[in-house]
Amino acid sequence: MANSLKGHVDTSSKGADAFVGIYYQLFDTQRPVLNRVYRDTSAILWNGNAFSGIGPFSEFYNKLSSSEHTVNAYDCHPLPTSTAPGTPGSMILNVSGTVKYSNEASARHFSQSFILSPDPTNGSFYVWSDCFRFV
Amino acid sequence: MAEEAVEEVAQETTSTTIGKEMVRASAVMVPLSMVQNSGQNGAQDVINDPGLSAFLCRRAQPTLVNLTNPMFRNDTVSYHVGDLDQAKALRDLSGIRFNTHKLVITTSAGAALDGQGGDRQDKTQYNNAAIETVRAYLHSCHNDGFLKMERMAADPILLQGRVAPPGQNPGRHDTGALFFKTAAQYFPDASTISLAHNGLSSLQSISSLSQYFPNLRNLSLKGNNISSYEELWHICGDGKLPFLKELILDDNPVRDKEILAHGNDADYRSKVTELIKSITLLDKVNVFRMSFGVNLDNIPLGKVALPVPIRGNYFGEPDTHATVLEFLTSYFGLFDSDERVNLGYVYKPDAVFSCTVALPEESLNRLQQQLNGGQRNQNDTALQRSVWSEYLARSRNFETVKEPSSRETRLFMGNEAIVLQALLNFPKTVHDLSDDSKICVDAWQTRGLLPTETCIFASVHGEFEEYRPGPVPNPARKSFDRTFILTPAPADSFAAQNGWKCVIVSDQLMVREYNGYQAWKPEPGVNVVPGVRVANNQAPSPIALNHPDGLSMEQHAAADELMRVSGLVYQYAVQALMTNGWDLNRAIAAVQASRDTLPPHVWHLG
Repeated sequence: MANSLKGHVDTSSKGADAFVGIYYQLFDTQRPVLNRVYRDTSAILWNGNAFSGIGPFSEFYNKLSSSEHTVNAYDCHPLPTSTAPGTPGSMILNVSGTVKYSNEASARHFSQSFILSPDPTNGSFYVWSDCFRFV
Repeated sequence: MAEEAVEEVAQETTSTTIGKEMVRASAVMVPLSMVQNSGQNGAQDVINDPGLSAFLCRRAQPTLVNLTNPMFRNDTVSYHVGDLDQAKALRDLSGIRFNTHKLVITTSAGAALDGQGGDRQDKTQYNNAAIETVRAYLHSCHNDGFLKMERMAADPILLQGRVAPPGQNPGRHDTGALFFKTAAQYFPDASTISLAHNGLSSLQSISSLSQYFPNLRNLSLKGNNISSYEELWHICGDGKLPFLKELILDDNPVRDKEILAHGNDADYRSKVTELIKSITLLDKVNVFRMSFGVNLDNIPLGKVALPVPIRGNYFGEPDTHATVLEFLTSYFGLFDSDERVNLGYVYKPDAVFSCTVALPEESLNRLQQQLNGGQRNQNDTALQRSVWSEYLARSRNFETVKEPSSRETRLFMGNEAIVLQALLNFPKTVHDLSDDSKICVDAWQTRGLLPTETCIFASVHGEFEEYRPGPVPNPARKSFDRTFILTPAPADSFAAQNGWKCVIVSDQLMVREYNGYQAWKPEPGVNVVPGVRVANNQAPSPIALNHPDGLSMEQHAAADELMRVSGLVYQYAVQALMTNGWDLNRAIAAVQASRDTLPPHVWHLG
């Protein structure tokens, strides 16, 4: 098991780089496009508030002030979720950084944990779950 | 890249003390040289005397000194020693007599030892005589809050005491800090200082002025040699000297050049008043600015209104709540104990772990400078005192660690590697779980992620204390974010036999500078789920399901089955079962009967 996971370390690492590069830019400048990385089944938690799926979540983030995220650190683990050998499975991605909302005087520290999974219909990865906290 | 360099440094260390390690990596030269003593010959004989090194080692005690690589040249011998402590011990011996000859001992590590006791023979160090001279001088030039430090190169007191004025010996021997520090000791309220006619071409030598006289109001730099506006940054940049009202820069090339070029000083005035926004009088001429009665720095900016309130701990189901709290209590209890190694059986054989130091770039750079240069910057106590080396050596921060091979080696796979190569190398910790306002947990159960089992996702945010041997102040406190993915412990596993309900599939740790616990404080009036302290007979729930003992295995299985058959979301399957006395068949029938009246959100999608 450990060996098959090793093969996914590199794929998931690159996936993590790509996701972090995309996600916060979308969140800060093009929030509507976020619905491409979430699904109706995504489990989203934002400072203890649960949103089941992109619908309720997008209502929320449309009301949230404009944001500017700075990522200080991120790391990911591949998970042993793959059912077909060779295909990449899900991964968990943890991000730590700061976010500044519109005209707040200072940025807030945040910690965010994503589980990214492959969409069975088209193979692209989406946010299975997203857990965000101010820390 | 900053982080990888820091990691290299940390790996060179083999013992637990930090700060001296960099020097140990490269031996320190301690050249000894002889001074002729009243025409007596024999200096070379003294240097070549075989008893010299033993004599020095004896006199350096209690510091244990080991002198290696002797190199003789005329009346000088030099040795290597292994670290700064030995170099200092020897340097402090400078001036002692060996066979009637006085020894002068210097070391190339002088820069690192500065401030730790001076070389008695070197006049440019701040020995008592120099300090006395400066004191006397300052008293002679002070009058009623005005320090007239002009034409210092010709001042009789300074000449006699042989103390160079600031700017004459640029670099670490510059006396600027000595003058201003002493001045601030005796005349802390001085609001006007003149440094006119001192031949200053760089203001770096007086950059400590802003540190010792932060409230300075009037400054004259007339008749110096300042030729660029950038020099002003040394004293006024970055918010330094915020109360400076009057500045005189007459007779400096920076002003004279402009007048020569343009016939007037308008451009010069524009640039200077732009650089130093507080001044109202420049070269004795008023500075006019338009003001709007608004100072943004003074307007308290509130926090934006968030569309939803901040809520406390989140647990998807009551079952999850109890399981996760129990797990965390056991996990951190074992982590903090002397039996941390036993965590090995709490991780699955193919589990993965990594840790990351999550510091903003400025902090990382400061940390790297500090570790590289062995500097003791007294202003940096917080970062300096919370040591990071064990984490930095393994930090898997994708922002800074880009090499695929590094990313691979820093992912610990398998319970053995995790415990032996990572966890056991972290210092002794104390996670205090007794105050649940200091910890925040978000957790839920999820199905369909792992192919064959349910798993729990748990994200924990909190703080811990570290205890280390050696001269670092203890304890160090840090904040952390840790995400676990847990699965049920197999019945025949060592974990299950030791009472653990869950084992770990994935564990990711982020350590940060301590940042307190206010960020997740729930807003008043918001439904709070009690935190980590597991009270007996209490399984509070965020959805007002009132089940005192949490679910048993059979109840859990029944809810699963009802979910599968009816399509209800888990928590509503539980509710349906509770309403029907945990009779599965009755619940199934009841759900069927009322299917059309139940709201949409109780159903699974897909």
